Amino acid sequence: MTATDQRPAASRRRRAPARGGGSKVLGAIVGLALAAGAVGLQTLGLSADEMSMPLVSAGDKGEEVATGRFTIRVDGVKTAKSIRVADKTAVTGNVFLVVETSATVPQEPLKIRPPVLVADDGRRFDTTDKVDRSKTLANVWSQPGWWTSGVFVFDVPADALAGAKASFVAPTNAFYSEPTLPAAEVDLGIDEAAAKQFAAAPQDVYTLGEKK
Amino acid sequence: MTEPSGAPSTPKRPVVVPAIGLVILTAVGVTALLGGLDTTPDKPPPQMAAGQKIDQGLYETEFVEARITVQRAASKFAEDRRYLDILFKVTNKSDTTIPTGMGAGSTGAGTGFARTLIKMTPEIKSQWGAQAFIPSGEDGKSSQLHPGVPSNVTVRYELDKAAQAPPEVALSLSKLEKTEHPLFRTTNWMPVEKEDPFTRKRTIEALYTIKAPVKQEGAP
Repeated sequence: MTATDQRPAASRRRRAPARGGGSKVLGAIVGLALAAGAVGLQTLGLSADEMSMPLVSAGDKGEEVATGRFTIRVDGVKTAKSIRVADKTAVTGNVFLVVETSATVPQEPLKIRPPVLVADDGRRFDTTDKVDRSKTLANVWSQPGWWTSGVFVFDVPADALAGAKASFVAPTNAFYSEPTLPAAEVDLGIDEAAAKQFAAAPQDVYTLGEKK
Repeated sequence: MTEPSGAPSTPKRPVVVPAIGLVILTAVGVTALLGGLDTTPDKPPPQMAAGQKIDQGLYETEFVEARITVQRAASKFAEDRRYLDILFKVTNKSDTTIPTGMGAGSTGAGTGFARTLIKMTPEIKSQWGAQAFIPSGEDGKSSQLHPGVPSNVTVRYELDKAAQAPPEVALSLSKLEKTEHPLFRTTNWMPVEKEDPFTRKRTIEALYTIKAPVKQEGAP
């Protein structure tokens, strides 16, 4: 018994140094590569600012862009020099971009939050406060089963028009904050030529609140 | 051969250590008398003139003028209102829309661009601090500084009926810096502060001052 046990043990011991030299080096290289890989992967992680951004569903003008909570469709885009609401006229030194929008929800009614216009260079414009918010789609309940339509108005410089997208983020809750809100980002389909056209020939007056 | 040491001469007195001690004590004393190392008088913030570009970190600002504006009463039962208007040309250098804000003159409090105006002499007291806005058209106003768009911002202080319009104002402006939240690592624009070395109290630093005459009402 003891003899048969000892023999393989001894032979293993004899072979071990011959194999060990190469495998140690190989092991070190593999270990270093794994460690370097792990460190390298950290650079792909999201920054804290990026982590707090919404989860985006993307789409184009005319398409229905659905998030879990609401569906947005941008029907048309216009530019104007002034916006008339009731008897007040808002003017701008830049250009008013009117985004005609329709919305519906799958389940719970909500009011669409005013979108943010994301320019091609990354600038983010809020909807203008020169136009009364209560006259925009932000003041209308979107309900399940049918589409509600309205507009959102931006006051932007002409160089922000080309390639602009409208980003609709879900309404936040006053009682708790959510880590990643759903958002719908709609490409407004303004190419260079259209942007030039929009900037050069805006409508004189766009009248809000007219029943169509 | 070495010389015999010590025995015949008088024993050396240890002078080096007390001498160094005395020198250090004198140096510390002189420093303390001059106000210490940390509290030498700060350089006064640079004085900016009208039309000069001021780098406020988040904003590029240009002071235009200070003037008195009178709003005539709309009816005979209302009264005329007088305002001290400080006019700026402001460009928002971030990539999002920022409110022009309110609460100018109240250190630290306030929002938007207005809070970078931390002090004005003479002080004009009001409940909420001065309001900042961008006039647009005849009677329209906006309170949004859109990214990269130079805007004419008015900071408006209402004057009391009895109050004398100041002939001159001095303004202190702060600067904003992009800072990282120590815990959440999110970034935010915060005013540059300085810390009092003794009380550890942090105050917003005035990095620019502006002194300007006030254009009186009726003046062109």
